[in-house]
Amino acid sequence: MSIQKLPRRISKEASPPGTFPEPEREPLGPPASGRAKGTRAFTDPPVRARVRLRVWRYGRALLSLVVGIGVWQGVSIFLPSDVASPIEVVRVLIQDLKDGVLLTNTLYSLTRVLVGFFSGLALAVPSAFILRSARWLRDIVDPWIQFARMIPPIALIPLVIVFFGIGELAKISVIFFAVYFIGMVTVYQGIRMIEVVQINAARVLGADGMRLFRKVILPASLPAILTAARLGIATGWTTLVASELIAASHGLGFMITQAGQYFDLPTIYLGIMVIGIIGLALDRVILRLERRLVAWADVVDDQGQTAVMTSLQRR
Amino acid sequence: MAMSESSQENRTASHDGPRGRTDHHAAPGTISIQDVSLAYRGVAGSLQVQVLRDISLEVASGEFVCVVGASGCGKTSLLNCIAGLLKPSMGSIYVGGELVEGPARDRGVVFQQYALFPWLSAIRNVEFALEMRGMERKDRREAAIEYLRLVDMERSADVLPKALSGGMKQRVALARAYAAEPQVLLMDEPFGALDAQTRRRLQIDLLGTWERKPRTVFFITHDVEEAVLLGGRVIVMKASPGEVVSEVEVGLGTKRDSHTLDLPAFAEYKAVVARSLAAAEISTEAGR
Repeated sequence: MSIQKLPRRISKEASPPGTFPEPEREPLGPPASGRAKGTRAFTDPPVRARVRLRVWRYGRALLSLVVGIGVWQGVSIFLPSDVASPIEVVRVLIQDLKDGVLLTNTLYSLTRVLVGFFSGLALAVPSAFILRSARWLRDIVDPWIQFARMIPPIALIPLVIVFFGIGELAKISVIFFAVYFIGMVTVYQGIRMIEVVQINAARVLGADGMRLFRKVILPASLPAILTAARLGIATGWTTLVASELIAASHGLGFMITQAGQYFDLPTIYLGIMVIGIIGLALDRVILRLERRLVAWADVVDDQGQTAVMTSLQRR
Repeated sequence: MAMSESSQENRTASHDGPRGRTDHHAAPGTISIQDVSLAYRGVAGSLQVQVLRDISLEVASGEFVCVVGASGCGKTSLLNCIAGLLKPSMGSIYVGGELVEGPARDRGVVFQQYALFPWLSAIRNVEFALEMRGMERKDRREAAIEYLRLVDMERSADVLPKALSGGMKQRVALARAYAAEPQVLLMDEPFGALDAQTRRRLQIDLLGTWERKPRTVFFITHDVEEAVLLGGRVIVMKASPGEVVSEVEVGLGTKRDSHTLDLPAFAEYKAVVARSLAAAEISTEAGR
């Protein structure tokens, strides 16, 4: 399969060269499940320094927030006709929360994206396994996958309207399309890199057929599946909002378009903020899941980069 | 064995080798390699790359055999043939008198790259082997601890492989291979990736483990010293194509430890094997 590159989005988060692979830890002293007293590796900073480091990290996050909002406020003073001030946006936020508009639109958008995301991913994973196992099928299907990958889902909207009208199914099918292709390609790449030696080790221990799949191949592909999920939710969310800009009567994208027609600047800014925050939250949820489920992978760094993800980027 | 009895019987009928599927004098734990050749198809499809040529070897039950040879002499391919991960182009291999037709639990393999399952803790890796053997879940943990104790790793039972050093990983891999209770242990340069001190410690410990739990061991290495220290017999291979050029019986007894290294006889055997290996390499060069 000629799928070589992942979208640029994740390569930006790549850890700098040299931070991977993590050097193998050679424990000092006798092997023990816990670290015995006095055998702490010399690279560990003392406790107090570590606390200071953590405080500084949270401090920086807070500083980032304060500076960001400060800049926003400053710009809004100089460009009052183009930029709504944070205070105005908060006022609109409170009002929209009160009359339920914001909640309704958010729920519409979230439901669409989650339905599209789960159905897309649910189909992408088995597709990837099937493609991996049948070479002839892969040869037939691969050119079309490559072709479909190059079509921005938004470009399909006019066609989707022809097929499904402008109902919920239309929006969900756009998300599905976006999540399915990126998910399948990512999972496929991941399972292609399952180490043969692990499969051989399982086979000589007597695992075969379904047991080999369930006990070895599936867990070994979990990092790739979670990477696919993370890429999928990001793509799905951005695609959804874009599709709502074009044809919808509810949703966050619609909220922005409508506000644009009335030149309601604070609502536009509010919509943008909410879209960004929810997108970030969705990403963090999957990141959490990834850390918990594939903590065994060699590297899960601050960005949630797993070994599979890193090796995907190295190809 | 994964294969059904009947399919094995069918193959036996069509098998026209010197012996049938079962061998009358084959006790459990014996390995019998009969005229095994292995060729890979080359790039063009017509060109054949001969990896192994006419290898015949008999390994007795409980014997510790080391195979040395330069890299590329096909020793790993030979091991993979015994394991059932590769199929010889010609010839056949019997383990415990049974024709090898695929990977199965009666032949445990320790790989150079450890091949532990990274999502399972040390003990769960061992339990995996027990589960494949059909052991009940409730009995597994206790049994697995025993196998970890065999390699002195019971204290790291719940540690994930990523937190283990190379030497510790290989100990767990050995425990896992033992846990399958195979007839023969196939070891593919198991200590090749370790530093000198760790390697020496694992060699000595392997001798101890082997003494406590005797098994037929087929051990591949490129290190002459390692081969002489561990093997009751050392088989020297040459490359392109891979062939057995000589065998050296190492008369250092079966009870060996770190003191074996200091014996004058040890140095002599080492020299004999090294000379044979050098001669093999010269003949490889000449053949090119």
